[in-house]
Amino acid sequence: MRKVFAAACLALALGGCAQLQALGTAVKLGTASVSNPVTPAREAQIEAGFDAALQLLLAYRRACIAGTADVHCRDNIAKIQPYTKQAKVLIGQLRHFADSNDQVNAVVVFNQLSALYSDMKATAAIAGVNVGELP
Amino acid sequence: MNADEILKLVGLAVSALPALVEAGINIADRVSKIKELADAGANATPEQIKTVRDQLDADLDEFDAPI
Repeated sequence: MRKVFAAACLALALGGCAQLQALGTAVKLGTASVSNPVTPAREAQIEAGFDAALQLLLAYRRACIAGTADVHCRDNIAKIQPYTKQAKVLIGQLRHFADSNDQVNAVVVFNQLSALYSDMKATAAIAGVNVGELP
Repeated sequence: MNADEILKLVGLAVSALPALVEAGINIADRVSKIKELADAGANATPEQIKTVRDQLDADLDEFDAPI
């Protein structure tokens, strides 16, 4: 079933991929630094990119609950959830630092979130879900 | 792989399509929001930013719920 889901994702991606590529080209967030600050508007772009990737994980979860995903889907989702739960904490911190223009800490959290996303992406890929790159 | 197995896989793939189509629609919506924010640049309104934040909170809550 994982292969079926992956194949269906691929089919979806043929339509969605163009969107993801647009996502990548529309916004180049680059690397955060004090000279390249994380403003609230930029932080929201990061969140929207994260949310776009999250849609594929949500589709996997919904398919799992509906019984149309692979037999290991519950275990797979349980393995990914620690990353998404940690991401929520980091995103909360990033919002606070962006809103208060605390760029030193905003950059630290931005980099932690980027690293966490890479780990989450790798774990999701093992489950057969390609969440793509952040913009 | 025999015909029954192939038909079973096709059936499972078709049953997964609604969730995938919904995901595609949602991704398009999120990309649209990114473009809006990029176009607005530093002039993004607090309402635009709040909408994105609220949506991500809701989606994270759904994914993080016990399964």
